[in-house]
Amino acid sequence: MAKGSQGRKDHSKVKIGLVMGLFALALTGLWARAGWVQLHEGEALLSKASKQSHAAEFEYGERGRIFDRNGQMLATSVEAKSIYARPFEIENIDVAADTLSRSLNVSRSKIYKRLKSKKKFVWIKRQVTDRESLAVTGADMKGVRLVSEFSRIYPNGHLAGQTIGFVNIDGRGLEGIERVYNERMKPGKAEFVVRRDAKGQRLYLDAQGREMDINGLDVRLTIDTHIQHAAEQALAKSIAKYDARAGIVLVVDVDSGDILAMANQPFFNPNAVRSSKATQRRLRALTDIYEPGSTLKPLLFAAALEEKVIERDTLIDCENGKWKVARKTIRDTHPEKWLPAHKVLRYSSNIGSAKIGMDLGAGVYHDYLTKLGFGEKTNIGLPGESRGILMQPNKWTSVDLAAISFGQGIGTTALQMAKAYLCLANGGVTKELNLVNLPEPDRKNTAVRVFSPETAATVLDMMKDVVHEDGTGRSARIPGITMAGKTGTAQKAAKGGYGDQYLSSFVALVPAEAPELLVITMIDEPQKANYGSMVAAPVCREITVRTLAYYGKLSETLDSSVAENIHVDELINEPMAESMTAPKARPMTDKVPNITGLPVRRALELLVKKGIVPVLKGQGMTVKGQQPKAGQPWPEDNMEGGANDVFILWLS
Amino acid sequence: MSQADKTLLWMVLTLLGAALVLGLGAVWLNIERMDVAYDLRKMDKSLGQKEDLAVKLTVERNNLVSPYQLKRLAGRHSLGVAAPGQIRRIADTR
Repeated sequence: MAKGSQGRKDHSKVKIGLVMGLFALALTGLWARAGWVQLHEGEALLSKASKQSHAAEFEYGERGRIFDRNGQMLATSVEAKSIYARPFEIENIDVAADTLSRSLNVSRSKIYKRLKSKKKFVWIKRQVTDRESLAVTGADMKGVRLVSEFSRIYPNGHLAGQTIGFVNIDGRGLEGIERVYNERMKPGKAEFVVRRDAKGQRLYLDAQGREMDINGLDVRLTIDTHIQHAAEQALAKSIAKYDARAGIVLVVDVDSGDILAMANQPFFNPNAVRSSKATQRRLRALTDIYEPGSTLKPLLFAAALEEKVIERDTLIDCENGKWKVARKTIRDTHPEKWLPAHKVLRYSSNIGSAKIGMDLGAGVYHDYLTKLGFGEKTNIGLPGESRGILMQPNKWTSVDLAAISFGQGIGTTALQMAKAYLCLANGGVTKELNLVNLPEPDRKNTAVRVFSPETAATVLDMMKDVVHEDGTGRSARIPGITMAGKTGTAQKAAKGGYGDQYLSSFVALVPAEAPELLVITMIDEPQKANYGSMVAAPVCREITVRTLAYYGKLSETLDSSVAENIHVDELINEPMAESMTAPKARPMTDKVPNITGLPVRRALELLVKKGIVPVLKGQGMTVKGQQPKAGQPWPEDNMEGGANDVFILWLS
Repeated sequence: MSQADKTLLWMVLTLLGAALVLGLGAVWLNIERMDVAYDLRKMDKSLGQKEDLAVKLTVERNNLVSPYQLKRLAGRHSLGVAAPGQIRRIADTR
């Protein structure tokens, strides 16, 4: 055995050597390959790996919002899905076109044509509704994808539509505030890297790139939605009633110069830009030039009073309603012979005004008109503003001077008129009109005294007579409130002279003595009547009543002589004598009645009559509980109403 | 084995053990990190959806309290703007 085994060759060493050699070769190969991959292809492979596991992502911010003066939202952006396709990825175009057409309510042929396109990317429908987006997501079609965009929404519809303006589908402001403040409101873009897993799902890596604020900044207007609504309603009603072509209303807070409402009819709904016409989108208050007519007369009177050309009672020959200047005849609707200056304004005599204008002189009158802002932009900051038309005085003929004295032959915008009257209401000092509260307008203080306080007060007093005496503005009278007003009925220029269309207007300042509110109404081409007193004055009245009611400043009394001496602000702080003290408690019955179920107003009246001001708990209009209960004795006489919660009403 | 060799051996073993623990810890942390990343992504998406909904609800709220809607609602309840002489101010005698 041992001999035999000794005779065999021992190959184990060779085998081991072979295996080791193979291993060495394999390892060397691996090392060589690893070295090659690591050192030679390293960078390229690293970048490939990075592409697989990381992805760049973009995030767009939200466009800034627009608010009214009270924080009521006028414009905002809402995320909406847009649907696009990569046509080359779509397997069955017929099926895809059918599904998309059904889900999106778009014609099949239109979608089919887009899907047949050779482009790499085609939009199918942008900014779809949530329902449409869900339907497309549910269909799970290859090559059809959704992407998030922001669509602009105007929750109040056409309210102040022309002022707010609108944006295009890419979110760029094209008109109004949207355009002017586009840079401020436009959103930023954040770019950051996310990690992807094997399935391509994205993981949150870190906040790098996201911490920046990419949302656009907000804009706050001076507009008050409630007053704007009141102005639009009143304007629309009048335009429908008189079948007019267009209309403008401006409501201005005299103290601050803030525009509270700027209504333009026809209305424009920025949510439906495509279906609107250019005439609807125009902000007429600043683009359209009108001959103001008699509403310019108070400014002429102010200039004449300031220059001492007239006094309040200066007698003026009104020529019995017919007067020839050069070869033109001027007529009055209320023919009179001799009138004191204040009655010239009250009865809106064109002849009397023309004579005052002529006494004043073209140069002086032009200077005043320029100082008041006519012939130049108000610089309110909106695009498309007109300068109006104001000829140089050396070009004025005697007819021009006479015509401009009663508001013809001069072109003004509603905004210019508002600025001029703001000066009068502000005691004769000019004041800028504001439309934007935030960002604060960066304007120099350009206030100039044009009239003395006495002149301004005299003109306001004369304008008060227009409304409160037998003047042309009687239809604007509001019981319990004094108003300075002026009507205007201007003939509109047509081919070769003046036609048979009119601009009816009315200017109101409330209260007359120290105006807090300025309301200007212009109704363009009313058909069924054309006098400012009939068409525009009631609009001013309605807006003023609604504005005063909204501010709680309407008078408690219908007697304007009582209210005349009371500043409207004081009406709140110092109620009228009749309402100063609650009546002394004089219970008619011994026990408290059951007032549960009564409207809160009725219950309050009942309790106030008995000298009790109850404490109201909860919200609502109906009384659902009371303390003390019905049948219990009345609270003691010596207890003040409301004190110590003597009477509590729970509302629902 | 000398005392110095023993010390060296222990140090090597300790280091190897520490490397193993640290390696395992790194793997565990990475798994946890991925889990957190998935959760964060989910929460991020959910937050986005909620914010989106909040904006839509704000728009709806603004629409409901818009003057046009309020006027319609007031009309349904026979309420309207106060006319001159209809407002009463009750003095606060407390």
